[in-house]
Amino acid sequence: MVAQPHWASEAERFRTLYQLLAALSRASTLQDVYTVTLTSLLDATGVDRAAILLFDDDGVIRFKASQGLSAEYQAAVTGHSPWPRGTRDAQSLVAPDVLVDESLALYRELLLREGIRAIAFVPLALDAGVFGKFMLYYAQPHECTTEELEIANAMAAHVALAIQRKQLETAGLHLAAIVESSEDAIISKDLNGNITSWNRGAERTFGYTAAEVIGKPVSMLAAPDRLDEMPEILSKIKQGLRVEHYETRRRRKNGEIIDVALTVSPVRDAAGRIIGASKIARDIRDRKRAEQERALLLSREQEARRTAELLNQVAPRVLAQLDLEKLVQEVTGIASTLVGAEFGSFNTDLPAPTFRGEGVVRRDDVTQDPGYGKSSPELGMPKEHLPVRSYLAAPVKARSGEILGGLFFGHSVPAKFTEAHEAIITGIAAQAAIAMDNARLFEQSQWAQAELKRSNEELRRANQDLEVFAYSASHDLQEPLRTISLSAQIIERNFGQRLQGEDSTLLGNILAASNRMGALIKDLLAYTRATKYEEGPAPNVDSAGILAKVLESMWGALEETGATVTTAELPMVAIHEGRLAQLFQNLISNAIKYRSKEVPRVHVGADERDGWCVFSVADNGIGIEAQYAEQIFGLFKRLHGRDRYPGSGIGLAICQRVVEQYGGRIWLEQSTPGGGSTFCFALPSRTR
Amino acid sequence: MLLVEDNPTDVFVIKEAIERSGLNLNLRIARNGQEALLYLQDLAGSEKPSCPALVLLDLNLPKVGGIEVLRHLRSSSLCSRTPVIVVTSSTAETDRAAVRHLGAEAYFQKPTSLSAYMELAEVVKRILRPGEEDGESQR
Repeated sequence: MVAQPHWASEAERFRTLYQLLAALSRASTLQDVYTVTLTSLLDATGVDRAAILLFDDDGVIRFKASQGLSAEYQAAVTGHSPWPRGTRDAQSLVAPDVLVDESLALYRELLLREGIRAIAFVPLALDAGVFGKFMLYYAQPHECTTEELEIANAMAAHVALAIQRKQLETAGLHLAAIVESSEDAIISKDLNGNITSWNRGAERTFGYTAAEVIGKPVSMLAAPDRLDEMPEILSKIKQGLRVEHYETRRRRKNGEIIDVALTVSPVRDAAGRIIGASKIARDIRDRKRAEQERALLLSREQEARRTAELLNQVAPRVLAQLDLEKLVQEVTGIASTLVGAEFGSFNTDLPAPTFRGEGVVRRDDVTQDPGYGKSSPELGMPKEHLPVRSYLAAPVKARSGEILGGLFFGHSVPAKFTEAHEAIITGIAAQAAIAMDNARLFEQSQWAQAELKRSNEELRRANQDLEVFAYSASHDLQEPLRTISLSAQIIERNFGQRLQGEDSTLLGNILAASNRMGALIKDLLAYTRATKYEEGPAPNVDSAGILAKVLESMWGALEETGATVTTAELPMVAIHEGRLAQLFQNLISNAIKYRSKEVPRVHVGADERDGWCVFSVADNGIGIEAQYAEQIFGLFKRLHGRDRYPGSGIGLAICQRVVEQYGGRIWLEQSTPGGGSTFCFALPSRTR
Repeated sequence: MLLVEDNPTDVFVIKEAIERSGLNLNLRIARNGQEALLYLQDLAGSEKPSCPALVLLDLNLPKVGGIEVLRHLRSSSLCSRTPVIVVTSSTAETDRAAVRHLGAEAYFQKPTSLSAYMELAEVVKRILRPGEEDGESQR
C-alpha cells in the first residue's frame, strides 16, 4: 500500500512553497532556516519523519535538524551521503523499499529497526555543487511521484540559497567584527583615493571619526613631507600590486606626525576588477622609540667600550712609569692626544674654584663664565699661550683622598670637549692617581732601600773593623804576655831554688796569671774568629755527617770519660759546615765537661717545624739553675771555680754568635740541677 | 847562623836553647828586617862571599817584615838555597801559606813554655845534619 500525500493539487504545492519562502525571508539565524525548512518539508510531503544534513568544514555530513529519528540512528548514518561533497548536477534518489534495494544492504537492519521502509534523498546544491541534503522517511514502501520530487527539489533550491545567504551574512559580520576590533587602522579607499571605510583602529590611530573622513581624500592623512607617496601607492594598486610593510609618516588630526607601517592591497569586485584599496596602518611610534633608545644605548655602550679600550691601552704605559716627572709628561701627553686638546698640563697649585666639586669640570666657553676676565689668567697658564675657550679639568686624587693635582686640557675653539672626553679624562685621572701613588711609593721605597743598604754597609764595616781590632788586639796582647811568661820561667829555672817564702809565691803567681791570661787571649781569638762572617750564602749541609766527624775528632775525650753519644735522625740544614761542627763540638764538650758522678750520656736530636730545624743536645750532667739560663751565654761567664772545671767560659758565647749569624737562636731548653740539661738551637732548615 | 828577631827575650831564649843543645854555632843577630837585608847585602859584596848555614827568621818584625826578608833571600843569587826556619808566634793561615810558598825549611810556632824551645834546637840540628839522628829532614 502506498500512502498518498495530502497535497495533491498544484495550487496547494505552490502555497506551501510560498509559505516556505516567506518563512525563510523572516529567519534571522541559520538554525531558524533549518527549523522553518523542516516544518515546511513535513507539511508539504505529508511524511512524519524528515531531516536536513549539511557538510561541515571538515567534509563530514551531519544532522542540522530532524524529526522522528532516534539518536542511535542519527549517529549511525552521520557521514553517509549518496553524493560526495561538491558533486554537480546531483539528482534526487529514492529507495521505494529498503528490503529490496541492494544499495542500502549495509543499512537495512538499521533502517528496519528504526521502522523505515522507504527513503528519499534530495540534494542541496549551489554553483559549488552538493553541500547537504534533505531526507524523507516513509514507514511503508513508497514510490515518489514526479510532483513530489519537483516540489522537494524546488524547496531544496530555495533553502540552499537561504542557507548560503545566512552563512555569508554570518561570515561578513565576523569579518566586520574582526576589522572593527583590530588595533590596527584598517581603511579602504576607492580608485580616486577617497576613503570608503574607517575602523575604530583608524579612529584611534589618526584621531578622526569615520563620519569625519568617509568620502574624503586619503591624502588628508599624509605627512607634509610624504604627500607624493600617495599617487605612487595608488598607481601600484591600480596595477594590482600589494604594498607591504611600508614604513612612512602620517599626520594625525591634531597635527602630530606619527610613524606607521602600511600594507595596502587592491580590492576587486566579483568579476576581478580593481575597485579600490584596503590599507592597514600600524602605529609604530613605540617601536620607533624603542629602536631609537636601543640605538642610543648601543652607541653609548660602544663609546664606553672605546673609552675603556683607550684607557686599557694607556694604563700599561702610565702605570709602568715610576719616575714622577716623566709620568706627568706621559699622562698629559696621552690625554691631550685622546681628547684633541691644544694644551694639556698637570697642575699642583690648583686654581681653587676648579676643583671645589668632586669630579671633572667641563666648560664649553669660558668667555660665557660670569667670572671671566675678573680672575685672569683663567687657569694660570702661560701668557703667550693660545686663548682657551673650552676646557676640561679633572682632579687627580690619591687613595688617601688627598688631591695630588689637577689635569687640565684646553682648546681655543668653544665646545671642543664632549661627554665622551669627560669619561676618558676621568679614567686617565684615576689611572694617573694610581700611577702617581705608585711612583711616590716607589721613590720612598727606593730611598728607604738606599738608606737600608747604606746602614747595612756601615754596620758591616763597623763589624769588620771590630773583628780586625779584636784579632790584632788579642794577638798583640799575646806577645808581651809571652815575654813576661818566658822571663818568669827563666827566673824560676835559674833562681827558683834560691827564692824563699813570699818571693817564691809571687813568682808562682806571675807564672799562673800569665798562663790564665794566655788561655783568655786564645779564647778571645777563637771568639773573634767565630764572629767573622763566612763568605757566601749558607749551603745545605748534612748535619748527621758533620756530627759524625765531630764525634770522631772527640774520640779521645769520649774514651777517657766513657761517655756515650746517641743521635736521632738528623736533617739537612742551611749553615756552613765548620760552624755547625763548632756548635756540636762546644755543646757536646760542655755536656761531658760538666758531668755528674754518672757516666756521661748525651743525646743529639732534631725536629723540623715551620722552616726551622731545631737541634737539641741533652745530657745527664750536673745541670744548671734556672736563674743562670740567660747568663751562661755571656762572654767569659762561668758558674764554677776554675779549679773544678777548666775553661774561660767562651764556649756558649761562641755558640750564640754562630747561630745568630744564621738568623737562628740558642737557648737552654730544660735543666735541673743534678738532673742534666738540654740545649737547643734553631737554624733555617733549608736555604729559602 | 843568622837569627832575625826583635824581641830580646826571644833572642835570649833561642840563643840559650841552641847553646844548650851542644851546637857550636856563630850566631849573628839582626834586630829587624832591614838589618837582615843589609847584612845579606854586605855578604854579597865581601871578598869571600859565604852564606849563613841557617837563618832563623821571625815574621813580625819592625821596618821590613819577615816574609819580605824571606822573599829577598830566595830571589838573591848568593843565598837562595840557604835553609830557613821561620820562628813566629803567628798562627795566621795566610802567614803559613806565604812561608810554604816561598820555600822555608820549617815553620816553628813560638811556645809559651821555656822547655819547649829545646824542640827548636832539635829542628835546627835535623836541618844542619840530616840523617844524623833519625834520618829525616823536616822540610
